[in-house]
Amino acid sequence: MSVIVQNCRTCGGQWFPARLLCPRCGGADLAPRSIERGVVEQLTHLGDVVIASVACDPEPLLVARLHGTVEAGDVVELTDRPDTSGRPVAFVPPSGRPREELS
Amino acid sequence: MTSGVSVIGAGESPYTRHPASDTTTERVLADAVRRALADANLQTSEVDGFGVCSFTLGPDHAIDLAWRLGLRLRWLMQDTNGGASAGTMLQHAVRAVESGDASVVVLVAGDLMDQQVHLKMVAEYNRATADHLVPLDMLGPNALFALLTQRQMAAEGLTRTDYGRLAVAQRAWAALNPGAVYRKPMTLDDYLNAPMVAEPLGRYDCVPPVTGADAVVVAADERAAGTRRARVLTVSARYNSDDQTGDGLVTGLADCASELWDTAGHGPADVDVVSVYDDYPAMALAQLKDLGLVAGGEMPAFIAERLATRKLAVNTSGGQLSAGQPGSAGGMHGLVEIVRQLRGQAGQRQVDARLGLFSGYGMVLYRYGACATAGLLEAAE
Repeated sequence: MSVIVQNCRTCGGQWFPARLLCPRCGGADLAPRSIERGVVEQLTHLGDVVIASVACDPEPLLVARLHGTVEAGDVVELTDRPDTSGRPVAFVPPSGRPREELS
Repeated sequence: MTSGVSVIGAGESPYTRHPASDTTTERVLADAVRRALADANLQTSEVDGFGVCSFTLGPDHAIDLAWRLGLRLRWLMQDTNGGASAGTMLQHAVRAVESGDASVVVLVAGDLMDQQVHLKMVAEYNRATADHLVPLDMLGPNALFALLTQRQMAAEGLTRTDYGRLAVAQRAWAALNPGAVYRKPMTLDDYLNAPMVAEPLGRYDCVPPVTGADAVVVAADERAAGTRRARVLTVSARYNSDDQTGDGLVTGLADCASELWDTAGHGPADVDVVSVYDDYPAMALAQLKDLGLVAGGEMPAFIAERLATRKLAVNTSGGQLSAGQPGSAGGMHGLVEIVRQLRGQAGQRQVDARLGLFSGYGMVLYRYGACATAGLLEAAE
């Protein structure tokens, strides 16, 4: 399980959501990179939905929905799939489908 | 330094939580334009510059609205910066008048914002929201600002009681404003006992969406000689100041502040009346800090001694928390209130005001807002 972020091959920066140019160095060579886990910074409840800020090392900061028992300060596995196996995960939705895939 | 450009009129289409079924965005915008022009004692035939910000004007654009208003123009703009649009448009309008591209500019912002429109707006706010936030079953920014407020509480030693004092003070101002949608006195207990929305945010931390619009008339000082006006000393803006990589507790206004005060030749202590963008109490406090009205670490005492007592006149209309958030007009609402205070038109809530400060904030990209504008205006005859 993981989420895909952008990795700038020029400066090493990691970005999410996707940028068009690297905000740090201006480079256009942005490659996908999998990130497996992050640290829950803060969380809040919208009814039954738990929304959290999750920090990856060294970046980026993600907005995620938590499933399972997770507390602030915990290291949590990241996933880009909404369906969960019941174990603690942080769901981060991927980018929408590319235009050519839309029917 | 003075720019020689003033706001000479202001108008607000009355805010309502429940718009009549025949209400349309363009009619609400037109009502605010008409009221602002009447306040400035001008006819539509005298207007040659026009700017509009509205989330719900589509498929029409600024030119369609100008046409329907019967405006024949030399200068036209459409702005998309929501809560920061008053400063955005005013910054452009001042330069247009200074350069001679326009002589009388009307700026308007507003929306038809019933529940259905509001839900559609927050679901389709931008690509990042549609792709990465809506699929979390998170509609609207409340959870984002709940997380931000938690960070501010930790950083500044704030409690829910502190935020409550701010909300209660703004409600007390709103009681003096016939245009506010919530005017009934609110106690700290009312605030603390209100239903939780997303901890630590309760119902009274979240602005009530309303239908309404706000407009101002901007013109060269010569045009307004002899009439009470609000001279624009300076307007400053920052967009995407940190690429969404910070904690959101510092807005772009932190970078605006020194140029704002230096240009105007004033400091934070000189300000008599303030409108800061209060989509949430945490953001009102963040802006007051960025603009130099309160120092880091001093927020709880500042709230108790300056805001709760209303010794510092902040959001004297009641702000969006009590007056309502009319879509993209939230920032223009604050500017209209400053203009009214400086022109002595604030009725029961009038304060002794020579120097006024307004700020706007908005456009949540992913984690928090990315647009910030502020301006200083002074009363002039």
